[in-house]
Amino acid sequence: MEAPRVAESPKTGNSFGTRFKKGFKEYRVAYLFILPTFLFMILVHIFPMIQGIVMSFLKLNQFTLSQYLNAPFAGVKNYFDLLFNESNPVRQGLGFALRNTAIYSVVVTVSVMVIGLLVAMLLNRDFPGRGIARAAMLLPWVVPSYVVGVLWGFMWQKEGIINHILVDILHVMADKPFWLIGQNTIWAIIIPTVWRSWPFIMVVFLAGLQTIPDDLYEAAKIDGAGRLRQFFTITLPMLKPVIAVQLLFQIINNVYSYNIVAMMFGNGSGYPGEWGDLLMTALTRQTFGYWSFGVGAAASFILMGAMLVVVGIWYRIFRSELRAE
Amino acid sequence: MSTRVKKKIEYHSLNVLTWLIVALVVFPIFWMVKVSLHTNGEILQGITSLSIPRPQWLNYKNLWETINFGQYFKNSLIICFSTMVVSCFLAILAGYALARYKFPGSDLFGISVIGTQMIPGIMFLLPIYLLFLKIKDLFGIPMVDTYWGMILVYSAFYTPMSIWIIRSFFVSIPKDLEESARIDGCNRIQAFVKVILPLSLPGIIAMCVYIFLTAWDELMFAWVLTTTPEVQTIPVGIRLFVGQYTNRYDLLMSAASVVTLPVIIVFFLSQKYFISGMTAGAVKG
Amino acid sequence: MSKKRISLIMLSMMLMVGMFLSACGSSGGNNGAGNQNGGAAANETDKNTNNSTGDAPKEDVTLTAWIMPNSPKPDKDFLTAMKPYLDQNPNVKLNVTVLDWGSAWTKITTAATSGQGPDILQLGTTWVPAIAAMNGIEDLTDLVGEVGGAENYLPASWKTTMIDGKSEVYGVPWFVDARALFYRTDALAQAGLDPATAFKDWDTFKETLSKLNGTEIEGQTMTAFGVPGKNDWNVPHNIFPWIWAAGGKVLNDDNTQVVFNDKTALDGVMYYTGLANEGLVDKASLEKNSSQIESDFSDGKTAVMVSGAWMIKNFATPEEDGGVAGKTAAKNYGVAALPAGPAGSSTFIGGSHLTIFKGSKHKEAAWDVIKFLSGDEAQLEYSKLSGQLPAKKVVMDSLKADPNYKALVEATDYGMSYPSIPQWGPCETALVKYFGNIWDIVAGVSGTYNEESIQKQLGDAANEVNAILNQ
Repeated sequence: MEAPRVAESPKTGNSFGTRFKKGFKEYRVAYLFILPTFLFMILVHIFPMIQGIVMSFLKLNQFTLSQYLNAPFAGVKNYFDLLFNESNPVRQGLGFALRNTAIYSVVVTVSVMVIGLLVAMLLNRDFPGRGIARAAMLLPWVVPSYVVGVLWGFMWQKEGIINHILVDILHVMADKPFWLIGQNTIWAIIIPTVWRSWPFIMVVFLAGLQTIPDDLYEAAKIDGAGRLRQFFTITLPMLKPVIAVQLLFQIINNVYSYNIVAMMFGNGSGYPGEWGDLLMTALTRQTFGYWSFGVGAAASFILMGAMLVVVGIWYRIFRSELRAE
Repeated sequence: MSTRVKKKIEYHSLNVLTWLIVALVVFPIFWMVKVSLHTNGEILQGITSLSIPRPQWLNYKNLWETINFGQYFKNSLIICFSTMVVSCFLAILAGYALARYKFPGSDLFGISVIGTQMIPGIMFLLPIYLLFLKIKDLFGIPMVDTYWGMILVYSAFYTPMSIWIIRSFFVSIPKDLEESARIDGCNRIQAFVKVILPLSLPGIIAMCVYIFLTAWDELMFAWVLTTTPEVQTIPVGIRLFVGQYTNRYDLLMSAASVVTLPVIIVFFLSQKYFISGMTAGAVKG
Repeated sequence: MSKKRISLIMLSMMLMVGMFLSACGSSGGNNGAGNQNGGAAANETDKNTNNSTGDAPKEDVTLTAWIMPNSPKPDKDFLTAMKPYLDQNPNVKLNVTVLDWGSAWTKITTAATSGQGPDILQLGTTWVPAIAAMNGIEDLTDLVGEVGGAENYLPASWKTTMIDGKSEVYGVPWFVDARALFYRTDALAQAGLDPATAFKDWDTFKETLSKLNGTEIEGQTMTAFGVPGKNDWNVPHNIFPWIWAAGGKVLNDDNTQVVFNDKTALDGVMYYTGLANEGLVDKASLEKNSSQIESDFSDGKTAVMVSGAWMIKNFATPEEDGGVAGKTAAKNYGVAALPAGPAGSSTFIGGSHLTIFKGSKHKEAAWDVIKFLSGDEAQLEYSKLSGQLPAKKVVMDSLKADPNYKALVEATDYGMSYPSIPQWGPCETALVKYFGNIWDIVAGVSGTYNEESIQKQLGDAANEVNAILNQ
């Protein structure tokens, strides 16, 4: 960036105020441009979040809900119960959700990235019908997530089409397993999510692949590098900026995933089970099922803190990739 | 000779693999449409064949009669389209500012934009609802159950991610282009409108598709912030419908098809721009 | 751009921020005397004076009603039932919003918190105490005399219009959800069983089921009993009748302590889940919900199931109207009370009450509508439209001419309902969870099925429910 460097002028004992004033003058267009977004963020994100934080310190249940922010102050009790009180049933319930969300987020994120990259490489060749194949593969991304929940919930039934294909046609398994109850539930929610998420990643990777200059590969070939080495020394490093951003988007999306699971199990009111419950479904149940808004807000806030740490780590790892120019 | 044969085999087997993946990926959507064309009786008996002996178009007629899908559609279109316009506008401004200026606070702004995505929706569902009521009390502007209330919330939700998407497009446009335009006598705004915007059009289209589809998908806030069918969106309609017909998979799948197919058609029409848009801009992350 | 304009922008920004801060202050600060919820609280003292009802209101009013999907076309059916009233009172306009059970809580909770909501609100029987404690609905104690009061309704149903231990009445029963056994008469005949004795008590019931298991009708082999598992909205309603029949209870008499984890209750759970464990239930049904179980029964896949009045209507409705009248099952079914356990017969009584939302501006008009819906004709009409059992005893008894309804209505004599306490909602959320785990164990996908593992789930459930009760 050229212009800013000029403005970031002398580091001669200017007070912050004058520097800011000067900066403001120089960058008034920039400030003007971010102003509307800034106001929107305050109105819809920051301001409600402050209320949420206040809620997390209150004893806010169905008896005190009508008082809202005037509900009795609970101090750090909500936080204490969640973090340290092992006999607290809320904590036990969230334990399963936490474990499932961890498995779910990691498996979905990794699968989506790997499948997305491999298929992108598959599509980054010339073959008849390439355009159609590309568009067709993107279709799941267009299916609304609540429809994904209903649709896959139907297909996962014990006598449903998936078991029919697996058992009766392909003979992969001897007996038709349950997918919607028991431990398999975690797969029943992971697979539809992957199905819906990978196409988008694929396009992004495809776009990234197409910008890698061919001569890099030619040069590597001359050096006698095999395909695998080309992949690790050229493809991956060149895609790193894309991977960085998509990784973050994926982590956020998956940790905060709600629609698919909610629609698959009882339209939001059911209990997806010890292996199907995610943090968002658990928090929603906590808030609107148990009416413990205070505990729900505290849990949300803890989650938010944890996620900010994750983003911080992400930023440290990929910092060099994210620089503007 | 043998390497040529090997290459040929590889080429064809990769093609087969590609089309296999296509089949696997499209199958659930095909299945959804297929099931929607069966009677409920047939569905309960279990469907295993790929053919549709007697297409039940009646399902769609029933669907249209029981639930006013036209109205939901209209609402979703209005809300999502307006959100798209507003978010797009805001994101272009902020994205450009982030891409071209390193102003004091720009890092903080960029990070807090990501930070907003970390707030679990459930945490501020109730506060937003109460805030909306407050706005009505203070200014007399009704917010709950209105188009603009939904548009406001959605625009604020989807602008942050859009900023990051569009920012990368702006970054990838060489600065010299802009500068030469200014030498030609354009002022900054003119240079932006005449040079930058046309060049980043694919990116803007990609971003618009992203915003539209994400808004089209939102359920939780629409559920609480709308109360009458005059404003409720498709996800809410579908949810009400699912709640009523838990076991009528013929109707459920028709409903699912009805919401999905139009989007697929629009998508097919715009995918060329979308994919090329993504291709142009994803490089810089 | 001049300095002036920048300072203008700064100023407006500060104004905006100030506005949000003040909004924050007021929503936090003066809520007690505030306009929404606070207003409702202030009304508490004189609530009975402002809704004394007189004649039907004459000026134009638009009422909003929130109802649940009680029938396939909920809003149309509701308006059909209301038509006589609306014709007589052209000044009343009715807006109907249909919620669904799964997510209605979210909406009702936010409405109760803010005081912005409908005029007439349908609530599930178990929700009334909670919403009443939230101060979300009107106290109707002084009005219910106009619809006949307690003696007009089933005790198990009426009990749920109040909070246990208090005398205020918050709702008027609209319809009743009662469950009974539905069985295939042809299957029983083929197995040489007499419906009059086959479902008498737990022993004969099990015997009957073993004889019915594998019956073949029209080339289709039947499983004896259709039972929904965890993925259902009725999980506790399905299990508690068996706990009650075993002599167990939900809570102790003063609702301070859980007792559904004692030995008698465990017996009930073990008997019911044991039926599935012994092969009298197709395990595949354990991932299904109630309406899938109902379809299985209509399709001749099962010989016995537990269901309610809506199925009788369903069996009488032709296919083109969404019913199943054409099926063999529709012509060959009977209804019987649930088998008696060691402590006698029992069934679950749920249903819905009509309530008036606290924030309503048209309470008199709303009450007028509720009064109309509680009239004998409207009760019968809505029952016919929705397939639900009418709440009024006289109207319910008038259905007895049909032998199937007769069995169902008689089953309501043994009706039980949950403790009517404000915390019941959260308790039920907890029960759904742990009873769901029990079904997972029964299905064989999580741990081994035996008394210890089931007792453990009940114990965990008890801990959580106790914690909710004592919070």
